[in-house]
Amino acid sequence: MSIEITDLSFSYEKHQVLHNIDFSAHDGDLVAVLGPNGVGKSTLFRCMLGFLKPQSGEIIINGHNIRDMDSRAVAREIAYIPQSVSPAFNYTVQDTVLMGLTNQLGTFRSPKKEHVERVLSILDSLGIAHLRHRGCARISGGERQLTLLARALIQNAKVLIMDEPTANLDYGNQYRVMERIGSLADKGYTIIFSTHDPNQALLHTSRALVLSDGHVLASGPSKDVLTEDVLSSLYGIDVSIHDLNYGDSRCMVCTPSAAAS
Amino acid sequence: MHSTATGFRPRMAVLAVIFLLTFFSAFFIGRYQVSAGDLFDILSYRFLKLLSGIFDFNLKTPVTWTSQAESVIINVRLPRVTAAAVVGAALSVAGASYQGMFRNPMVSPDILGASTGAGFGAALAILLSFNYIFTTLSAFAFGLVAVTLAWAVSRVSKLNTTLSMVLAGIMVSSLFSAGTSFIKLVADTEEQLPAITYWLMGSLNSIKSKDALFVIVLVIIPLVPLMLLRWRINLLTISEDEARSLGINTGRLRLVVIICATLMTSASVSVSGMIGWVGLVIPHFCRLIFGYDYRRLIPAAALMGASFLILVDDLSRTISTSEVPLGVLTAFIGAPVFVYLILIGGADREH
Repeated sequence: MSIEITDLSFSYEKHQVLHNIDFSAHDGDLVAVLGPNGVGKSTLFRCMLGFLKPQSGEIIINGHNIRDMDSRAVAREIAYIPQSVSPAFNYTVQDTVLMGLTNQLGTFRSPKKEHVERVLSILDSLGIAHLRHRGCARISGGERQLTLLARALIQNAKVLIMDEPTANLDYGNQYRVMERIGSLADKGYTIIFSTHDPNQALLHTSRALVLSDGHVLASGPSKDVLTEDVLSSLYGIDVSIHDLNYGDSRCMVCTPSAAAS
Repeated sequence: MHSTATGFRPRMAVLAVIFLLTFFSAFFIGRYQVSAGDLFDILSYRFLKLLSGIFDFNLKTPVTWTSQAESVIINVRLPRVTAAAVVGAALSVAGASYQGMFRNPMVSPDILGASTGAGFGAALAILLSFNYIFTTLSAFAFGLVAVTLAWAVSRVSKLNTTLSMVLAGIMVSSLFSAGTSFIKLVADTEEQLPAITYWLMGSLNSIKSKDALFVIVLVIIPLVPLMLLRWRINLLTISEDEARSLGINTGRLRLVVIICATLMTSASVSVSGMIGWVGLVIPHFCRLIFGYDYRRLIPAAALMGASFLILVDDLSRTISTSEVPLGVLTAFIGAPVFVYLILIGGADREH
């Protein structure tokens, strides 16, 4: 299972958003995509999902070129988890997750009992089975994010793309959602998500892709890539990285340098 | 309290029983008294006669009723009650479908101009002194023209699909209602103007077997794809990107839903005139009882809408010596009910 992007460029009419992007991710990779607002993270994701047709470059998902795939074929390989926003219609958690079966059911078919059982086992594995009859508009943002994650999992795709999965979540929920995502990567899913928090990338991810002005600024193992120089130039503030040792554990955190003075 | 999936079957059964009761009890309402025995005998006799025609067997049922009773039941009440049921079901299902498609529970079936278009078509036909059948056909045709126009404008618009369709619908509606106003202005005030005004207020007063058949056929045909696709209609309520990432091309589904909902609305309005509120309030009530899933919402809206409009039509025939237009009654009932829904927080409250 892999996604490989070579020399990808994309422009909206005259405005070029992505310049010669090279990037790949494989089984079990948890990749954070970092970059300031408007840098092209969403555009990159939309290309990877086949929503946008890049002007040049190739995207190969599990050996298939995305140019030759229709939305059904893309949905078999890659699932998308949007930002958790309160929905217009208050579907229950269970009904929301069932929608992930679209690709596996014929046009005139609807989910049956065995599908509901699959939903329950996925909800159970994410620890939200007790919410199944609750309306999605009435659960917390973190619970809603896990519901959307469950919808992506029932889709049976092995590559997951997440648009700021922890945006608008409180500190506890951010951690809980990242833990779930991390354990999915351990099971072999390839997960690519965008975030505005470099500490999240340092703490949870194996790899990072740093975008600046539509170019790849850095790409590789998170702890090697997210250096003081890269973060400082990325966000336009001085950033220091600290090594924390406690007991047997060791982790890296970054802070603005000015905060230390 | 949680709404459990297991509770829905009994609720749907209760709704079906209510529908059957309203349907058959509506035959007893009116100046001519009908006995339950006659109603049963006449309806079953007619039904068997229909079957005998198809399967070619001899029917030997003794006729125990008067020809007047048969005429009232078969030629007056049967078309009227069926038409009320079909129009109520059609407006509710169309409303529910449009609401999902526009991701907005406040949308009614005339959002794309089907009703105002049909109203204009009817007014034009009355002005040109067309007969009753051509008035119906003209209303139906202009309903379709209005929606096609709104849809075409939204296709070339650079705005997003939902917003451009809503705006195009408003534009088309106001264009056709201006047209209707102009026709009222030039219409002859003795006969045409009252006819137009009465038509626009909605009534099943002059319904004939032919109209009932027309509306049944034109509502059942689009109802079939909506029933078959009803689980997929759920996918129109999430964002286009999300639906696409789940592997569905929403453009085609959207078009099928528009065509079906528009056919149903135009056919209904063309035989009954403009009847507001049904398509807005009934889907809301159904969500309150059956939740948001279109698998249950479509059949529930059909049954509840049918029962509701039969009851409203019963009222329109009985509360005064002259008939009260249906559109007036549904507004009198719909508006307070809607206020109630607003006060309790709509279908969004946890149930």
